Amino acid sequence: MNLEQRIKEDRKVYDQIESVPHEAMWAGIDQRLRQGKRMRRLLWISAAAAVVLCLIVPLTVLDLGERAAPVSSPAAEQLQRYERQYSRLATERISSLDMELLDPQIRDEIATELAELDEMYAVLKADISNVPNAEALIETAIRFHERRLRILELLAKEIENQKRNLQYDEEIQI
Amino acid sequence: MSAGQPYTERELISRVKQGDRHAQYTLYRNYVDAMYHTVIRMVNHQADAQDIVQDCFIKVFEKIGTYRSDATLGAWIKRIAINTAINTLRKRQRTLEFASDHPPEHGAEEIDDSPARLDPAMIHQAVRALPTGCRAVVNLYAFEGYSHKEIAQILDITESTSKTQYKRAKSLLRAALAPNLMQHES
Repeated sequence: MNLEQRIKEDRKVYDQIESVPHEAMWAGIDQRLRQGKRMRRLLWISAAAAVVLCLIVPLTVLDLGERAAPVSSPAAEQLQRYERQYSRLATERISSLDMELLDPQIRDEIATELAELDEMYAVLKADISNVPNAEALIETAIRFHERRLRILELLAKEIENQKRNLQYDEEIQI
Repeated sequence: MSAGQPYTERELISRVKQGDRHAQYTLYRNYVDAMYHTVIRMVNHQADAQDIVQDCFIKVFEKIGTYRSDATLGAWIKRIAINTAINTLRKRQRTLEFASDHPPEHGAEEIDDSPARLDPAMIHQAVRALPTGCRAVVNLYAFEGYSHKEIAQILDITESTSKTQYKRAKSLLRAALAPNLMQHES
């Protein structure tokens, strides 16, 4: 009989010689997963906010030249219609989110980011109302709303994952 | 809830990809014993082995999207564990020390023909006492079932070095176990 054959035959015995510290190792892995997830979440929020800000900021600083005052222009009315439509969808989505499941610090960061975006959007809207030919700006504003909805959907997904993980955390006993 | 959920392997992989903690835990419990034993035999140090196994599973969870079913999931995870262990050994010692490539003059095969059946714990202890390079080859060849060609790739050595180191390891084991063999024979 050769060495490898003997080892193969006694393999189970060898694997019982050392006890495996399951609990300690899983605790370490779990902690690192949580830290990683938190970092990814923060990065994601920053990235999402950055995308929306990049979309909005250039519009607010555009030198629009001729400034007419068509407060009730067709363009402004068209935007209002889109606004109402997206606002309804966003309200529905937000009301379905269980924000309490999010880390309070992250929740505050999201609220701050969204409030800042609202302010910037108000500036954009004022600019649109003052431009005679604002189709491109309206198109961008619509994209802004679409992005916002997408962010809310991602947030909902993240909350769902968090909910599932919390449930498992309570159930898993090593 | 126990970890032994009746996931198929495909379901398990899919859930781990989504970051599902329960699936991650199930996968961990399915493979941790094998991984830990493989790693501790390689590095011979409990705290290092624990760190390596943790690193290994974090990598598995992060990179499971790159897993292709041309190897079994267990083989894929084992390869990650071995690579992580080898990297740790390299960092610890800068290079894996392989003794001279000259094959031992005698004694390499003698352990195999011993009529006495040695206690596996003695063989295990003797393997753990081998020099790092030799031990890595013995572990990969005899315990993990890799070929010398595969070991050459894993350890970045030649196939011939792998074979020579294996012979040398057997010779060293023979010498280490000789007193116990004599006891059995008397």
